[in-house]
Amino acid sequence: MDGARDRRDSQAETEATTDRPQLTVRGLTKQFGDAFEVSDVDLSVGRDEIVALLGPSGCGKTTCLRCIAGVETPDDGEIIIDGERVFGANTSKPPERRDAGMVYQDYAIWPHKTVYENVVFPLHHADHDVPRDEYGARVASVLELMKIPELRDSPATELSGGEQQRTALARSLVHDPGLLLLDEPLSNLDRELRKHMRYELQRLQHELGVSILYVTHDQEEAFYLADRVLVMNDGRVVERGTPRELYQRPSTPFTRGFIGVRNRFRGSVEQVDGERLVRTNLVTFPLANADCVADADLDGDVVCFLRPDDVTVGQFAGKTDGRLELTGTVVAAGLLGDSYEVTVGFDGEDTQLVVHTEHYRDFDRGDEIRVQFQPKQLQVYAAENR
Amino acid sequence: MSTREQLLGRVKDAAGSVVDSGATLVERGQVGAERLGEAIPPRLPSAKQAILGTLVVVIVLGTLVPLSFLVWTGLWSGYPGQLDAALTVGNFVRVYVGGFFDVAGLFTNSLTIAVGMTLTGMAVGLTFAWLFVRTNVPTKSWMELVLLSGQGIPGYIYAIMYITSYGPENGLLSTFLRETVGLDALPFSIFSPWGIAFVAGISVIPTFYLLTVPAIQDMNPALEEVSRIHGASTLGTIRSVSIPIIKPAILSAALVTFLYGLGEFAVVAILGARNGFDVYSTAIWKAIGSRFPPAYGEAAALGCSLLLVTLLLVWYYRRVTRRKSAFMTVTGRGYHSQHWDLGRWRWPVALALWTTLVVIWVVPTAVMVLASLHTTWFGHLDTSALTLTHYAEALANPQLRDAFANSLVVAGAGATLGTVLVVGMAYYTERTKARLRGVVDFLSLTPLAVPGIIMGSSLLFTFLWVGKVHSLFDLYGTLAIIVIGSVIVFIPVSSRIAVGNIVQIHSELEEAARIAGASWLQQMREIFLPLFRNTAAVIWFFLAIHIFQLLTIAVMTYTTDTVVVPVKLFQLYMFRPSIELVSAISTLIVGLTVLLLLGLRALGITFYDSGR
Repeated sequence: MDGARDRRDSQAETEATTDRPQLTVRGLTKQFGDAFEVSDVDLSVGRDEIVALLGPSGCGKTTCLRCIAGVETPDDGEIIIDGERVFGANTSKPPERRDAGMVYQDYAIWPHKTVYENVVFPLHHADHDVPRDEYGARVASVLELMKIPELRDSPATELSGGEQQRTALARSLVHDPGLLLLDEPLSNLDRELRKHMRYELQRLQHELGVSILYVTHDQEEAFYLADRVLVMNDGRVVERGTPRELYQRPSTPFTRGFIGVRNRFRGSVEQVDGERLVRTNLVTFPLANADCVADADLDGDVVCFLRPDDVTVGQFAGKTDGRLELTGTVVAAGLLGDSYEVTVGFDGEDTQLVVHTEHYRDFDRGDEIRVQFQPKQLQVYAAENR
Repeated sequence: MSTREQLLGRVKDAAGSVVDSGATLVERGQVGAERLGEAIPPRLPSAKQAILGTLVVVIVLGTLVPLSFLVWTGLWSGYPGQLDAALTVGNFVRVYVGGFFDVAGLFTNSLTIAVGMTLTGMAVGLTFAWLFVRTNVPTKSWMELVLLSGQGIPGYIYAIMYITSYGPENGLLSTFLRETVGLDALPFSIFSPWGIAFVAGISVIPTFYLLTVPAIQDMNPALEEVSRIHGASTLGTIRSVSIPIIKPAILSAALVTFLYGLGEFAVVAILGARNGFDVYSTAIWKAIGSRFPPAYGEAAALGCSLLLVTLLLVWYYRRVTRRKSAFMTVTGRGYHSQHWDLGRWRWPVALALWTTLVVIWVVPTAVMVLASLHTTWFGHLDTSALTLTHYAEALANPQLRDAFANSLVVAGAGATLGTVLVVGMAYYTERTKARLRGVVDFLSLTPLAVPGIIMGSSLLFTFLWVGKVHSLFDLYGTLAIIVIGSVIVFIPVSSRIAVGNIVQIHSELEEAARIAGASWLQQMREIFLPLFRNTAAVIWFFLAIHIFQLLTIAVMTYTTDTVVVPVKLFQLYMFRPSIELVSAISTLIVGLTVLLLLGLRALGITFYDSGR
């Protein structure tokens, strides 16, 4: 037991970017009936840091957030906000005494109040330094920051989705809380607005310097905004790291699947002339050349992952330079966002390769196509028993 | 199993799972408001615990205590409040073995009334609900207004209306037929058992209508369209898709009307008096009210067997409705249901519906008004006998004025007490995770199982006993006992209105206030209560109107100082037969009620929001 506690403490320390994190959660557990909604979750958010909780719907990320806010009571664990224990063995502070702001997925704008009345609410009730006669000015400046000063006296029922979102954000920031909890705040907006608000959130965070815990199921959002990302599944944190680490070398099968590495093929490691070769049905290459994530003594069955962006379409005239080249036929092709996606099939093989290319090319089904990639773009893992 | 049945099964499952997922979403949303108040370590109850706890205790006491005293009185050899007596099964033996009452006959009669009421309510209510929601029958909004106005008329006034219109001697119809065709007697009699059941059934048609309309409205029309596209006829679709989907709503509505039927008092007492037709309720009333000495123990023992049946039905009802659903909730979603085109049948169908409405409501109401304007009502308009003297008497009679004042006090106090209790209870069951909330939710339904006459006698017994404990509790002979009983009787319906509307207020709105720094009390004042204000007003007026009209509780517990309007009206009819004066008072009651309802409607308050 002590050992486990030590492990958690040391983990929390290494994760913290400053001496005292704004939020520390240890061993958070919440059960609904017999099922674990959240199980033994540790996390911390440093000062002025954005941490994202990323996971599929129902993985327990929102429950985590609600436990931290105090609107859900955990079964076990410890929550410390700004050095003060708000939940633990003998304490459970009500939400109004936790110094946090929160934006709900559906915004929870009070329909019977105007925008001003919604936003000024925390000033009337929460702890803060703003003197009473400056409430109006404070609200005005927050609305200015959100770029909705003209909506000050609008009834809440007349707001569009984007305006509600800005109002909710203004309400959560107006009393300058130490911790901001965001529960999928962008998921109800349309695509363009979502991109824009993503940028706005980052701008705000730089301007205000607030610690944010951000819950989302959208990996793009998480990787764009967060300093660190925790991937959750089935109530547990399965992996944590910076967006770059998680994007480039996800270590668990779940993360790989969730953040969408599209090309996956099986193979096996063989000893040939003292060199270890990976043989798959498409290519064979020395293990030493590949990006081997797991232990060095990889042996037997392996799985290889290849990102669609790392494959180039076309043929190099000169030296192959260690590149692996393949010739196949186009199975399907179409525009996808900013790039062009081609699915390539190979004679007599089940495996297909998805390739992204920036240049629009006029491919038809059945056309011959050449693709190539560097072996070091291949990530090799021990085979999963999934 | 044929493919069609399999498909149908899937449709049902899909509908079920939609309902289920909705329910879990709601549950999820509510999780969290729980135990907010337990945060402060010392075990002092928070404001939230204190307030909700008190309200819940009052509800539990109100639903359980009277029934315990009923059972005790049944098992007591003396009068209620008489200490030098002993426990005995003598009362039960006399009632069920000794033939004190004709129990088998009473049971058959009660069953007849309940079955007849349910069938009447279902046949008319469901047909109207279906045609109004699902077809383009013309003038339906006017028809709905007429139908829903019926909700404002109590059963005993229906009985009076039907006597003036369809009674065998001086009813308008029988007089007309006798004078024109020479027909001596109508082919039906409103004084026969099935006639009584039919008149009682008229009074529950609006209820049946309101209980089934939401289900019909909430049904996704795509389910029916798919059936049509895949080859089923209109009738085939109704039979194999529509009816099965709304079956739970129909069943719950039928159970509610059946329960009302088993406890029906006023219509039977008025119409059954002529042929000595008795049901459970009238037998209990007579055993206590017109025997000397009153047969308290025997009446209590008799009530127990009916309670056993009704409690079983309520238990079953709760299984059918699985909380929240159906019972008088305001509908949320409202599909833009496209209407079935009745084609060239539009106007014939409308005509048939209007004929029904005219025969059932319009003619009886009009004839009652007409009767009230005659010196003596002989079943036909007599211009020489027109007079306003009955109205003058109704307004001038000091006893009636006292009764009116008493009724206003009872209605106002009862509506206020009931609203506070019911809103608190709904908050407790829907917004907290307290361990007892399932029990409280069930208890809030149990008064549905207790017919008004039995609740009235139970309260009588209760206060005869507890009045001995301390004069503070000696409420016998005060208006308070009528207030308490009336509130308890309407807890099931009003709590469903409250629960159905609390569910519509997202709990996130309250949580957001807590996170923004408000305490529970501040949150209640600034967020929940303002958002719930309209519903609270609806509940208050609903209770005020229905408590004002309630006869059963008052008729069991009144004394000479606490006569209320329904009791006065009942006495006037039973003991001083003057159908004209009674009609005048009834006209005043119905007129005031309708005016109040229309006024509230203009203010945007409707009780019977059928979602349009």
